[in-house]
Amino acid sequence: MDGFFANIDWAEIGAAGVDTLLMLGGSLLFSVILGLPLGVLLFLTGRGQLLEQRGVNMALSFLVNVLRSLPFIILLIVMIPLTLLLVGTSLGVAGAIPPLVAGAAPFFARLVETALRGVDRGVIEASQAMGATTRQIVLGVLLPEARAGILAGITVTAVALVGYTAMAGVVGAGGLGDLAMRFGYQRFQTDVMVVTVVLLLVLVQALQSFGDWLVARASRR
Amino acid sequence: MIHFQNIHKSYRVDGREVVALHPLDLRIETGEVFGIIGRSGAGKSTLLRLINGLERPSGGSVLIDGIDMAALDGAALREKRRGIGMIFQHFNLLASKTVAQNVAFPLRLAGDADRAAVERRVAGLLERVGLGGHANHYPAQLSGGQKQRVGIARALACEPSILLCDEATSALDPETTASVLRLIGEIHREFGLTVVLITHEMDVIRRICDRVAVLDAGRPVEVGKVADVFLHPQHATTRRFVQEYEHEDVLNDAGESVAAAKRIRVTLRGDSVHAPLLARIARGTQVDFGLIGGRVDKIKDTAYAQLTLALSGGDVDAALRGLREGGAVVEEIG
Repeated sequence: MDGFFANIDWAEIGAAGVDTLLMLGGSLLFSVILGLPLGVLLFLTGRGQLLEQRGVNMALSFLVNVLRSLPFIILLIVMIPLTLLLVGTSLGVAGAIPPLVAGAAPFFARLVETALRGVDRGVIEASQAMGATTRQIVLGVLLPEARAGILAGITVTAVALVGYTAMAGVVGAGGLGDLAMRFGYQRFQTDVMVVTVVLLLVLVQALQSFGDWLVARASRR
Repeated sequence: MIHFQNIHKSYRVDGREVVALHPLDLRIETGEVFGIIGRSGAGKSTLLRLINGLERPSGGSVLIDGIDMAALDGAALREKRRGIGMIFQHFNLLASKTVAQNVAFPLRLAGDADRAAVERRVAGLLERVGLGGHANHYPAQLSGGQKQRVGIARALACEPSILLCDEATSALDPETTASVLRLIGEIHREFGLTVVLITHEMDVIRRICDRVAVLDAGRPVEVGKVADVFLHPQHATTRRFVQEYEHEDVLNDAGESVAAAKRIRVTLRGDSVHAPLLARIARGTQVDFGLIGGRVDKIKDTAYAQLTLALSGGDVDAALRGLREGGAVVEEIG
């Protein structure tokens, strides 16, 4: 066993794990904060919806599509000036979060839009008949009714972000993916590769299971 | 009173103008149960939704006690809507909220902050619709009839003066339909509500409505008291609805002896249903009454009998006179 794990520096792996979790937590938080309202707006301004606005909807939709079509590795580099402006550095964990959010928030917004489309139109109509304002419909009807779908969206986004963080090594952000890349792949340290990949697998499994549990708890159908 | 004044509605679909409602005038009196019957696409759903502004007319006005709903907007419209309860074919309850939270929802929307008062009101309403023990259940745990009862409690939460029923029993089985209609009837009397309902089933109209409008392709083809429209339908569409309900095709199967006789439809209403009118006339005029088809039932609270008879022998003219004098409406069938 010792022979196989010869190259493993557990302290380094621990630090990389912490970096991954920090990047994941930070970017997921901001992706939800930005993506949720964006998704609600995409839905509300859509055709036949409460705030139907063709122009606004097309503009938002275009922005989301542009961000989603850029490969993340390109986004990471193109974002550098904006990242500097936002967090003061384009390096490390902090420097990785803005591009991660820019990649994940539009993705999450689309998932939110889809979840909201699944809300029964009749329920929205009933709320209107009861004299609800658009704000009351969003907060009191749409979001609670789509809760399970939105939680599932957060889970999918979190798993996607784990994949994105592996590329964040390009801006020196560290993390498990970066370790796998630099030591496991470039230095042929197969043991480092195996350990980091197993840890990432465990992380994704844990996220998915936790997410599924939340979704099941939120479902009332 | 709800007064549709020269109201009409059309949509643009793929650049073409589609008329949902042709210009129409219609009055619904305060405190009555008014039914609107029509096939799908006849415009009844549009007409109902004009009342609470869920649909805006292309022209004309919808006056509720003199206020034009079609001219209201924003906060004024929302305020008015709170005075109009609505129940739906598919109930439209919030799946993420409990029964009690669903009923409390319109109160919360209205900004009712007094929690204890809201809870008391919700408990009272649930008790009234027979769901006192289901406050903490979720809609998914209820049967269709129970869901509609929650819908009714929710519609009543803000003490409306008008209740709109959008095919409220169309998704329910006959037995549940009867109990939900009974509940709507009771609530109509207790709360003094004006009830407007749309349906495609004549039986619903017969059970609880005072007056009915028959809608066909965006036009009201017949409007009147349910008994008049139901027993003496004038328009082909109305006749189809009534026949559908009565499943009456016995006439066509009647034998040759009947074909030679004089055929009439006799309609009796109220107390005269139970009077021994036919027997008396048969004795007096020596006319034989052959029974081809018929029905003895109730329209809302009024009993009626409608019989299709074949008259032969004796003094037929005297028999017809006697029937008319006895309070029957007699129609001769070709």
